[in-house]
Amino acid sequence: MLPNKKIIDSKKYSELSKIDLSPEETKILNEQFPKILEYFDLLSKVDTSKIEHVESISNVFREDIARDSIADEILDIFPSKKERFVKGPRMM
Amino acid sequence: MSNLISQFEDIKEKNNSINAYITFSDLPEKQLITDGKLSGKTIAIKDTISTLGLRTTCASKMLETYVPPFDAHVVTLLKKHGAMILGKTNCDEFAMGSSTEHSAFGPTHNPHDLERVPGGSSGGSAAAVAGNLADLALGSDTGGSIRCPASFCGIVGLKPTYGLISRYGLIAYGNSLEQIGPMAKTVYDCALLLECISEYDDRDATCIQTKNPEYTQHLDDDIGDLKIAVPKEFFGNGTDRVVEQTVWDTIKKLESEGAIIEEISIESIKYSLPAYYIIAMSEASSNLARFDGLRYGLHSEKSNDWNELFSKNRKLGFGFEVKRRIMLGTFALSSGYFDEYYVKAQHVRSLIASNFKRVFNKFDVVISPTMPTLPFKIGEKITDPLSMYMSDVDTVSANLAGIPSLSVPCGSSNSLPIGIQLMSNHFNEQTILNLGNKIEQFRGMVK
Repeated sequence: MLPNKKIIDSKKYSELSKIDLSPEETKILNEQFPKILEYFDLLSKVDTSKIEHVESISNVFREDIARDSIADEILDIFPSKKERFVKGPRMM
Repeated sequence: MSNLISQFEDIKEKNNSINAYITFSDLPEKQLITDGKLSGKTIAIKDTISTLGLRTTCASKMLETYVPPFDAHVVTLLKKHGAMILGKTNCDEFAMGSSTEHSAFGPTHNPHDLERVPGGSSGGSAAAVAGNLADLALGSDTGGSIRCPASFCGIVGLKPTYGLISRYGLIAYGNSLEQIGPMAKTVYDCALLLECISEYDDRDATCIQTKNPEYTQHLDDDIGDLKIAVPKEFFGNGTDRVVEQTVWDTIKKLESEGAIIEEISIESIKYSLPAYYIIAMSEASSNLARFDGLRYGLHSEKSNDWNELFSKNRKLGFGFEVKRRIMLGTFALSSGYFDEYYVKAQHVRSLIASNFKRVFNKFDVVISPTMPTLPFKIGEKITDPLSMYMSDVDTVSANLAGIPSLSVPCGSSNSLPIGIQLMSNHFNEQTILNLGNKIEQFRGMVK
């Protein structure tokens, strides 16, 4: 049984996604999400109990050798830094 | 070179009405490599592909000022082969869309009718080629983003086999689905660009070592009497009559030339679109978590709370379609819904892949329309996301199965192009390029 579509709550998923939404955006998404999920629920009709996985998955290794680095160029892009560290807001 | 500079000024002028480019390159003072396979050719690059020193925005406010400190592997190869990079092309933001309307830099216009969309998400690349603003272009295709605009703009576009082209430097949207691929006016140029960019790269662990086929050398090889399957599910309710008729006219022509045609059914194709969107959105929610404004990209005023700062940066940086997909992807991966949506979609993906594998045991090629409709008007679908998602109904299966898929022009209606989609088994690009070449020849196109 698929979950009740009403449960999808834009506010909760906006927090989980770390995206602030305007009240207007929240209103539109609350209208659109049930329709989109109803369409996604089509998948519940497919019998996937005997699925054979066809993708061949294998590990990929390469030699652990030092290569040229662009660390300095990347550091140049940081909007805020201290020495060679990016400076961000307080975590706790 | 002076000729090229004057042409470049014309291209910039023409771009004012088409809006194919977001950023133009500074042309080098002289052509550095004169004997490369692509020497003398101009190329436009989709703005999801990183270019050293040249702004790469993904058509997003989030990356409006981002200048990559490195080249994508494919860009390194273009330079090695002597291509002249003219600039970066418009697309749907982070490649999420089917019309190039979801761009922070305004929509691209279809050169065949400026009131219509060029398709998406690589709409700027397709419009650049179709509008004579570049000889060649690179696009990226997660669920049809090369083939859809190729079809709508009347050009050739290929989504290669997953793993043929390195994704190093392609800014990720749905990384288990997407490939960079060539776009051009002719199958020959498409094959030429493909052989230049398909060189193994160990910086992408999903890139597979192949022996670099010379596609152009074998383009006219006799492909014999190909066995072609036409699954009826690709001609569903939403397919325009004129598209269906034009594609079937081409199939009948192939039959009269010796191909063996059989109508078949692959029932799982009906479920490819929801499976694709769930997987792509889930991957997007994870891939786009990196855009928090801390190390690069848009950053708002300082805040002492990381949660507040990231949420504000992402609010200001992302457009509405990107927000919608990240949130739906977060939902599909969240506790309580993961099995019902994400895992189920992965199972359906496996089912579709195994169904295609079975079909390719018997057939060489699967044929369908590339797009179910003609290019639609700008603004027509922008407020109805589900209707926009439905545009991808014929293209997403190839991404789910990881198989190569080529869109070739096969006719038109009221001057609007119609494309036919040719799919084959993994790493069988040569077969569909040759078949595309044949279609082009009997349509009287010049090689």
